[in-house]
Amino acid sequence: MADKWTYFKSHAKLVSPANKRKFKILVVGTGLAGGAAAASLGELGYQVHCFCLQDSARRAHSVAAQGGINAAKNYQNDGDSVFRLFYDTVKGGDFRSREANVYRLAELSVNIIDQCVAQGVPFAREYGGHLANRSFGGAQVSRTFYARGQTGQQLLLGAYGSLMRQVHAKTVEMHERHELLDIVLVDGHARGIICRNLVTGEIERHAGDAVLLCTGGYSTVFYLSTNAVNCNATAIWRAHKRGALFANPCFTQIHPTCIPQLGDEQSKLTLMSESLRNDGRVWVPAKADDTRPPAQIPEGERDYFLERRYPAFGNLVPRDIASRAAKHECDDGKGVGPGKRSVYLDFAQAIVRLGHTTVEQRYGNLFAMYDEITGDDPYHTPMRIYPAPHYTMGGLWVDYHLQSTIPGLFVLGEANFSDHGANRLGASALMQGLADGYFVIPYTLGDYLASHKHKPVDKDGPAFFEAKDNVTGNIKRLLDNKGSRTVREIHWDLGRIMWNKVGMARDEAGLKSAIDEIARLRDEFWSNVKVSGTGEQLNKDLEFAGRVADFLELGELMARDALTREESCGGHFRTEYQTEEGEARRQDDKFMCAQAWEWTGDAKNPKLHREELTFEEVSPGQRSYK
Amino acid sequence: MSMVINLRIWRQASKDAQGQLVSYTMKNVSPDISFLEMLDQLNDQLIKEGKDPVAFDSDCREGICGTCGLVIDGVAHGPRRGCTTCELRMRHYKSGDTITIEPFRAEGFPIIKDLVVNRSAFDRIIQSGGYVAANAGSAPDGNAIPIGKDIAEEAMDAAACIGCGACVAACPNASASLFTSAKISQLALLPQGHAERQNRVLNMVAQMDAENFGDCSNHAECEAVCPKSISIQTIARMRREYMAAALTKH
Amino acid sequence: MPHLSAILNSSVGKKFLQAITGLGLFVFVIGHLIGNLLLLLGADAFNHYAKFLEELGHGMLVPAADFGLLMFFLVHAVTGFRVAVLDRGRARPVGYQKTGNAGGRSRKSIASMSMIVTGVLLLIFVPVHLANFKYGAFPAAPLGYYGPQENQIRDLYTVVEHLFADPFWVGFYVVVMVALGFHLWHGVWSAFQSLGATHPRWMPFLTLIGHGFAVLLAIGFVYLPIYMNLNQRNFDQPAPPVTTPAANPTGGPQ
Ligand SMILES: Cc1cc2nc3c(=O)[nH]c(=O)nc-3n(C[C@H](O)[C@H](O)[C@H](O)COP(=O)(O)OP(=O)(O)OC[C@H]3O[C@@H](n4cnc5c(N)ncnc54)[C@H](O)[C@@H]3O)c2cc1C
Ligand code: HEM
Ligand code: HEM
Ligand code: SF4
Ligand code: F3S
Ligand code: FES
Repeated sequence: MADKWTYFKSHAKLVSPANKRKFKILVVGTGLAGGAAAASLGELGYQVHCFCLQDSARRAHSVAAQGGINAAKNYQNDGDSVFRLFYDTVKGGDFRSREANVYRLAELSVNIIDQCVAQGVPFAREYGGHLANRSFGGAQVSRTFYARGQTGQQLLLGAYGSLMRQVHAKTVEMHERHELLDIVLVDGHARGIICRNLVTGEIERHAGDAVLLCTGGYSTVFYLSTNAVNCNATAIWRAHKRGALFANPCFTQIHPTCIPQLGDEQSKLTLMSESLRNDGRVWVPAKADDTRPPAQIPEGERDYFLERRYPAFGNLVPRDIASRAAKHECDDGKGVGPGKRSVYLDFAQAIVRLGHTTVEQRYGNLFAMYDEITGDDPYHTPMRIYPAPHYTMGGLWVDYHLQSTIPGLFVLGEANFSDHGANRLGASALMQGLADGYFVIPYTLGDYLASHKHKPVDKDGPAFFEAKDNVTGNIKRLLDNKGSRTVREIHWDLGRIMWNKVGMARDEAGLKSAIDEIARLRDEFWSNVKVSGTGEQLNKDLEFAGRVADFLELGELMARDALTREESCGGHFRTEYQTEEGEARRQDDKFMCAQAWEWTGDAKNPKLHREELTFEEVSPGQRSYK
Repeated sequence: MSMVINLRIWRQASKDAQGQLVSYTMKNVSPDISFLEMLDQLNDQLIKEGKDPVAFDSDCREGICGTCGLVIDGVAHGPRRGCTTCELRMRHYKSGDTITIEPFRAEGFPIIKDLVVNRSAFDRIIQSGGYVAANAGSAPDGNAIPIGKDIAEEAMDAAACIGCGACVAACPNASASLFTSAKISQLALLPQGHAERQNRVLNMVAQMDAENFGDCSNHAECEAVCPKSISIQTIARMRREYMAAALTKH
Repeated sequence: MPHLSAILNSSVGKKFLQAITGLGLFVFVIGHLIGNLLLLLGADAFNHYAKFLEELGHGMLVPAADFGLLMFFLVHAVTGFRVAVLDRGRARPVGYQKTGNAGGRSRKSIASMSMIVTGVLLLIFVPVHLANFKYGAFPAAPLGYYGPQENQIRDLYTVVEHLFADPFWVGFYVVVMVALGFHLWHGVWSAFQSLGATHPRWMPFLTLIGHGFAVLLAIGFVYLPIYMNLNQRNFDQPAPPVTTPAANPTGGPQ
């Protein structure tokens, strides 16, 4: 297994430099995955067309990642290695990921840092000039590279720079403010996409030799999440409807350190980087219903519940565990703040230990952000945090080559299901996006192109018009609907169902009722939604309407997936399956698999496929962070 | 505790259409919500009344993607320093306030609709040289070139730019100097950027000028509105780099 | 190799020119004020100083400096107009309905926003000023000469004195000198910033110096006309040393 990638690389079929120019590759998304892929394919000489929703490739949601990126560099000499990163990631994912993929990821992590440094990414440095590291949840070594609290931004700008360089070199053509609305299949292969030009409203057809979906995660199905408001499932969902299997949709990550919700008009939740847990201590009052302000609660009457329950990892336990523990305390009435739905993250001792300046250097911008949003100063009073939907481990099913079940349709980054199993460790999504884009796809795509005989396709072919009509019909249906509720209201309703019943803790009854409620909400959407404006102009309302329509189908699939998976693992917690101490209990004999769903034409009847997982290098044990 | 807020918003159907300020009153604004959530609320109201909602851009809503950007009472990103429009909270206003909202105005940023502008000029400035040419796979070990902490920090200060364009919107000359110089400074400070240093600054300045942005008269209004507080020292550095390149380049 | 005209016409190049010429003018103005302060010491001191300047470099220095100044002045004015009027207008054809100031670290001020206004005032001022003093166009101020025949001294002092006897001219000068103060309030540190000659460490100091010079120059230049106006000699009695020149070396009006 450890040599699988090396073996593949040396045996993969190659496309000769002169031929690369003849292949047109459609890359959808400009996040770490898409940006890196489009840039490296451009460097290789392919003819790349790249699409994104935002007005600039630099704004993809990867930009928001704060904490850092993992790599098994072992610069700290603290015992890190490729194997250990691989092991931590498989274990962190609660043994629901594919070993070979994860191993490759760990192996490539090293090259990623080199590549990013070469691009001028200003990673944090030690005084001696060497790269600095911090520790992150789920690991006992310090292997996270960071650029202040803006690591995702800096990595993305690195990829974006490379992408812009290729645009300048004319190997890549950018299509900003374009939304993918359908995939075109010719002879069973992905050969094109249908996009809406978000400025003019024109429905465009684009033909190519392969399609790469790098469209990110779908946490916004919860309405309130840490994701950007334009994040969506539309691209992967429409591909799913064209035949790509959707794997593990219910595996969602609820991040423990977010700023709690402030009111009903709120449009998103803000993440406070997990790195805060390095120095901040999480606590609640030991007694339920203690309404004293935090400063008046003496040390002895505080419950540092993570340190108490998980002495080995303390405040640095993986996210799913930290989130559930916080929910548990709040369910017991020990929560603090309005509605008692938050816990403290306290820096008082860190400030004494490290000094105000060091704390400010490490977390200054996060503290400022917290202050700006809540009006509280975390230097003087503990932050209040609460879990929020953050990342979706599920996504389109892909093989080792990152190819979906539709040949020629590759899926990279958060949009695929591949590397994180049932839970993702902090600082490893950035790693995956860049590994996929810079180092995996250039090889696997070449192999695909070289091993298939492609007939040229023309965007005037019938398949393109069929897909275009499909899209136009959908848009018309939305616009013609003269209902009374806004898209946002319905999205909110869906979010509440998802959060309450398909959120941090799930059970059979709740999931069943969620399935019914979502189906009803979907009917309501199609009969009573009101979408303003026309299709021939910039129309944000219409854009959101299309995305919410997809969420209303995906949400149901997530609930079905959660219902079918009768076990607890990673971020998926079924209350029926827990240990005495309230930890997740896996059912390895029944669910050591990825559940991949096939669209059958009806959201109510998806078809389940299973990919059984085998573990050769690590033996799945009870995940323990005690 | 909810507030009444009067809004005057620039409405313009398309790039070449005639625009104007239109007044709206919002009766029920909670001080806890963000400025953009207030506009969301307004839009829901407008949609229900069968009117066209106000088009504005936003994405991350936490101050990092640079998508949002409005000129609020004549100041890009509004009254708070060091924050983007999406980070602005209504608690900084009081009931009865009238707020004027306009799009970023510059020839280099043509209006698309209402408050949405086209900032692709920034992409073209970066295309002209705002990167280090390093093909994937060609990099030496990350620790091969040590970079002093101070230099790394200074480069990071400049690299923090989110490309929002507020500097242009705020500049009395509609100059894009702060944006352009931030990238030039980052890459001039870091050793990785040195190979292309001279071409980079010459080409990026030429592109900035070609995009019809104005010249910099050192008003520093850009630094004040910049959500990442990028300093006009980067502009000084860009000028040094430029003159040095112009005088010594072969 | 980039073309010189492309460099000087770029946004950076234009400001480079503006700064160099601005600083040149600034240095002249400082020297000019110091020289003019000799007015306070009386006619002899001032007139001898003027004579001393005239004779520098076999009488070539003043014309040469004048030519340099003129060039600087023209380049400065033309570039200033391009930057502040043409380019600004092109870059923002449609302005804001409501304008505001961000405060904080902004250096936008009345001074910075009115560079072109104060500049144009100076542009109008200088020819008038030269006409008055250098070419004696102001009729109430007869340019006289005194001293031994072979070493005549121009009586500039009296010319100045006559001019500032008129409150209109005092007012005109005061307005322009205040404008000059504003121009330099933003201009001096700005020129260093335009040359890239700034650094976080010395920036506050530089600003302070710039503002200091602006204020001192303005005060000095404003003080002179007022002082001259308040300390007039009695013109009814002809001033003793004035003699009618046998020849008029400058060819100026009698
Ligand atoms: C607040 C926050 C903090 C995080 N912090 C960390 C961290 O510290 N470390 C870490 O490793 N991970 C972190 N993550 C996770 C990580 O940022 C993401 O998983 C990762 O960046 C996803 O990258 P991507 O390239 O797959 O997708 P994205 O960056 O989301 O890019 C998606 C792209 O697809 C485009 N797109 C989407 N839909 C369409 C469509 N229909 N048509 C056309 N284009 C489309 C978008 O325009 C965009 O360009 C964080 C995530 C969040 C939300
Ligand atoms: C004695 C006369 C003058 C002096 C000492 C002077 C000095 C200066 C200085 C030092 C600067 C700063 C340069 C920079 O920012 O790089 C400046 C800027 C400027 N000057 Fe003058 N100046 C004088 C006359 C004029 C005239 C006649 C004009 C003409 C129209 C003018 C117009 C301007 C303008 C518009 C600017 C601002 C340029 C910008 O926006 O960046 N100045 N001046
Ligand atoms: C109170 C203010 C001032 C007084 C009393 C004054 C006085 C004079 C006098 C007497 C001369 C004649 C010198 C000669 O002919 O040899 C002169 C010349 C000149 N002055 Fe002024 N001046 C004043 C302000 C200014 C200012 C503010 C400027 C510039 C902006 C200026 C620019 C000039 C120039 C360019 C000359 C011509 C220099 C030369 O040919 O040597 N003056 N001034
Ligand atoms: S320099 Fe500042 S204001 Fe300008 S684009 Fe960058 S972040 Fe925005
Ligand atoms: S406001 Fe404009 S004038 Fe220069 S210093 Fe900033 S770009
Ligand atoms: S929406 Fe991303 S910065 Fe404001």
